[in-house]
Amino acid sequence: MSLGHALLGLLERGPGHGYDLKKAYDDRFGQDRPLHYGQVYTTLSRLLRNGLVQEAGVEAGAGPERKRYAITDAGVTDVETWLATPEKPEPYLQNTLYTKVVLALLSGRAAAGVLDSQRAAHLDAMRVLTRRKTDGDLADQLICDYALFHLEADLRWLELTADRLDQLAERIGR
Amino acid sequence: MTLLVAEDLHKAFGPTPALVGAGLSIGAGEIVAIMGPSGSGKSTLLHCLAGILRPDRGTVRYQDVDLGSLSDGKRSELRRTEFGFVFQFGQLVPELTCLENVALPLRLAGLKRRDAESRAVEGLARLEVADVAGKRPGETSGGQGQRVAVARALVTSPKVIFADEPTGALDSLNGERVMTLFLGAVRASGTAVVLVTHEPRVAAYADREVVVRDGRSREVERAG
Amino acid sequence: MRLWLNDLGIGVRIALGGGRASWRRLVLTGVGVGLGVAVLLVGASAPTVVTERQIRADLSAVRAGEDPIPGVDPLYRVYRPEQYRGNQVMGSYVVAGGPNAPVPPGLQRIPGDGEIVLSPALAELMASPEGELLRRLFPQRVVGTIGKDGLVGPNHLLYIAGDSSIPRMADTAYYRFGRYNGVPLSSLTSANLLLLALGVVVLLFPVLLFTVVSTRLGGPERERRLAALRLIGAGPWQVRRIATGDALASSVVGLVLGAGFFLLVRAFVEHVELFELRIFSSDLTPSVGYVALVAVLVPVLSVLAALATMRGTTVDPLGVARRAKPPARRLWWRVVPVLVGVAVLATRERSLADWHGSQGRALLLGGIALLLLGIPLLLPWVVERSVGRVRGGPPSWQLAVRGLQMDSGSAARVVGGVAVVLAGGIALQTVLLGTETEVKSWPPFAPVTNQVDITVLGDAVTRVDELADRVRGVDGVVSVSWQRSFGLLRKGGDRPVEVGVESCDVLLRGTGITSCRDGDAFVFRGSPDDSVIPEPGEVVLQQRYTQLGRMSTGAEWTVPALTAADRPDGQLGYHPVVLTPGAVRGVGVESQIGGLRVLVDPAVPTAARNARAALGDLGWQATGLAFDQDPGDPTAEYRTFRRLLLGGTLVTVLLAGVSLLVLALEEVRARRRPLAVLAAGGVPRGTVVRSLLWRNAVPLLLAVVVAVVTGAGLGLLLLRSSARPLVLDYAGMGVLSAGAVVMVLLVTLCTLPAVRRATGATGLRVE
Repeated sequence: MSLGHALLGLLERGPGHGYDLKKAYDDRFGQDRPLHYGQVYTTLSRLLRNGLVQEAGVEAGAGPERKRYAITDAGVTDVETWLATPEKPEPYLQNTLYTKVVLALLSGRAAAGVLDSQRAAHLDAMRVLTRRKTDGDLADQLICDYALFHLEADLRWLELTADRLDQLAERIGR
Repeated sequence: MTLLVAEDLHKAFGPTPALVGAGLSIGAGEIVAIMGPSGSGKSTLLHCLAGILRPDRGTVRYQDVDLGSLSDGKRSELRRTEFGFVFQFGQLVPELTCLENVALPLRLAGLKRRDAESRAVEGLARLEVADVAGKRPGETSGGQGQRVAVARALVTSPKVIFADEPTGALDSLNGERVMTLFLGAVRASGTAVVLVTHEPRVAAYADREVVVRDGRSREVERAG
Repeated sequence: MRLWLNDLGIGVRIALGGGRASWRRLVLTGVGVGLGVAVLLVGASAPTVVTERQIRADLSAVRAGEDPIPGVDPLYRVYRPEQYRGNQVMGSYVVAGGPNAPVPPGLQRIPGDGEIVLSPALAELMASPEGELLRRLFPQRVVGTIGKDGLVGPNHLLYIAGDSSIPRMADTAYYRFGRYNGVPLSSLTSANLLLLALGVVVLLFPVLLFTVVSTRLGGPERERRLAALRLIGAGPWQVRRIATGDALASSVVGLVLGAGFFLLVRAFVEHVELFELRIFSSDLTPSVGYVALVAVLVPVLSVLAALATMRGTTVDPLGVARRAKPPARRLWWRVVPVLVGVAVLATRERSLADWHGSQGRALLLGGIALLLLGIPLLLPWVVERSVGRVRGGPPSWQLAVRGLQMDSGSAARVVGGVAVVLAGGIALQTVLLGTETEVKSWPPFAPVTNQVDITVLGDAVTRVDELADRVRGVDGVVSVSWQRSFGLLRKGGDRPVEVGVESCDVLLRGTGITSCRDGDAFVFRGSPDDSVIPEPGEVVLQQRYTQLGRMSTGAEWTVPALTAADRPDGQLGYHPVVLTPGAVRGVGVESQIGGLRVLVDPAVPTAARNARAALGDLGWQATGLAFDQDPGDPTAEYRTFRRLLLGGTLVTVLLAGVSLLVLALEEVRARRRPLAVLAAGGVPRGTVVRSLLWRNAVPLLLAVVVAVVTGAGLGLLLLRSSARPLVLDYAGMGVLSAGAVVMVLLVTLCTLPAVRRATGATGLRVE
């Protein structure tokens, strides 16, 4: 995901300091990995250079930086184009989980065990997310749901695979 | 403390075995999900646990009482007083209004109509469906109907609620709403729940899960 | 048009389509409709049964004393009915007066002397152990069986015996059998025909209703199929045509099964005796017109019913949506038939007072039909309104009432038929009770169980004292008294005098007479009627007793010398003139009549029959009459009707019960899931059963109320039309209402196994 586009999107609501932007970003998207200030300033200066944002005055205050930034028309167009461009669906054809299962089968180990422990781990993760979602606000719910649906997809794959293990073993062992 | 224990349950319908050695135990206030593919015996396990079905073999003990030793009438009474039920659909009496549906278990327990209905109103409010009290189930949306059903299951303050695919007929958003209100209510009252579902997202509301496959149950081991 | 036929074909295919469920439905429907059709056909045969019986009764009708017909020889005939174990044995002794004498219906030839022909029922009775004494009464050689033409019904006990000793005179001469001068001897008055017609309307209409209801069995399944058809692109009108084909197919199956049931009934009807009535198979034949009517009416009505039930529902591709709340039923058009019916009947006051008048009968019948048929229209409204306001009550009651509030129509339709039967039954009972109340003002009949009177005619009269001795020896006989008498008419007189014949023994013992020799004659004067007593030496005319109890004037006779004596007390004083047997010389035996009064011990049940059988060798010269049965009960005719109607009502109520049961079972099937969920949640099965009971009972109780009000009102209107006392038959109403209650209980009881199955866990399984 592009951090530049995210910052531009946040600036669309109105001008703000770099610190405001970092806080807003962390609240919404950065629960797991908070941004570094450095990342914010590097990105902002790149946007400034490309004419997508402009400085909107300096404020006296307690913060380490008092520059306020505002989005330009070019910046708005850029955000619109970005939003309108569909993300490429990622098929994850070769992820670790699949590799583990196939390897377990090839090496004669119990693939069911691999699946089961993975399943438990997934459900644990889902339980945590569910609880967080129950206590959180709308943004929390949205982000948790995103993760939940992905985990659910993994779990369904695990269940299906568990049901097909015999079939799979036969084919791979050939 | 263990509330409900089932061991080595066997049950066959004619020549078709539905359970071959399933078991489960649940403590007070615990929420357990029963998962598994369709036809794996999830619902049969639930019916045995709730004393609706008599297993061919094996025991179900609720608070140290063997359900198999109870008469049909006694088990009915147990279900009425100690258990609550939520099904996928069609559990509300279509002719009664939602309020009367929720009040029904209390009235069967001998409460006066006025008292029963005032408690039913509270129950409906807790599930945020007070506005459909006067309507018949057929006139409500699916989500509202399920919440009325949950209110009915909760109204007698049961020790255990058995829920069989409670969100099976609902979309994700309505399902989530039903689950949130349902789980909020049971956690507040310390009610145990046996939750049969094939949806991992619904199972994730539970404290732990049991997988039923080919009539056998397996506790899912925790990673780490 | 081709498309239409195609749609109908699809409907037929659906009705007959394979699968166990659809076969089950077809069989259920077929049996339900078939039973109804069979009853309808039996009902349609009722007119044939009545007329055929009447025609045969008329065929055998005779009239004595007719003028001779040229070219026809007389058949001399004495009618001698007997009573045997409470059964009326009818029959006569005959002798041909020549080769051209008329042959009684049902006979090949006139039996010769010492021969007898019997009806099959009498032959059977005589062959059985109970017939032993009858065999002594009829020792003649059996030479044949009386054919159907001579019998009213299969259980008609009839004999015709040949006896050459029958007096050959104008009184006993018959020249033909059959209706007399074209005047029907039938006792079927217009009022009775009205009762019959009323009975048919009352009984057959509900049957038609149930038959139509039966074609709607398995409704939900059917509707699911139709929805599936919509999904693959059938238009709403196409679906209607397909439903029509479906309904047609099931009703045709029902018609075929019904015809089969009817033929089965017809094959066995001769062996079944219902209320002392048995009918010939061949009589149980509906007229072609009625058969055609049934064959058309049943399919047409079932199609109309199918379309009418679809009116309230929309068959969508994704299922059947019933309108959440049907519009409230309106009263005004539902009361129209009832009001018109009442208006018609109210204007017919006294129109039936003349029991034989036929004026305005059609109008009256129309009024009755309108009133009765208005009930099924009115009932849904009544049920809806009565149930609509009910609140509260225990849970089982709440469940039932709420259910009825949501859909009271189907329940009301079923009990509508029951209400018509009940109302009609109550109306008929009221009318019959009114009739009986009137008839009760006639002299009451007290059965005498210990007395048999045996009448003696012909030569045997001269031996009547010996005959009395013979009967005295029979076991169980307490006492026997005999009498012998004849009538004498003074020339120019208009009233005869009864002359008794007694032995000197009796006269010396029981009167003030002190000396008596055989050949003496006595006269007791002092009654206001002394003018009829002839003087000694006067030439008077002998009076003859004829078959019909009339007197006819015979030969001259000279009165012997008469000794005057005081009138004795008791029976002897009945005759103003008493002769000793020696003085009767010159009086023809045909002018005399003898009688034995036999008192028997009621504790010996065979005494009366044995007493009669002791005179078995007398043949036509003796006939016995026990007084344990009222020979001329004026209400007998109504009793027969009431029995017929009661039988019909029973059949209809039974059919109604079956219909209710089938619908109740369907209901349980359709509500399997809610019932299972209730049971799973710990609702006691008793509560579930009680709610079903209320659900069946509430509409039925309302129907009973409506039926009682309508039926009593109708009965009173009819009694008013016939100017009879207005009496209500509370007992009858009570019995009929109780019957309805019992029926509900039975129906609910029969649904219990289905409820048990439905409330098991299998009901919870997702289909």
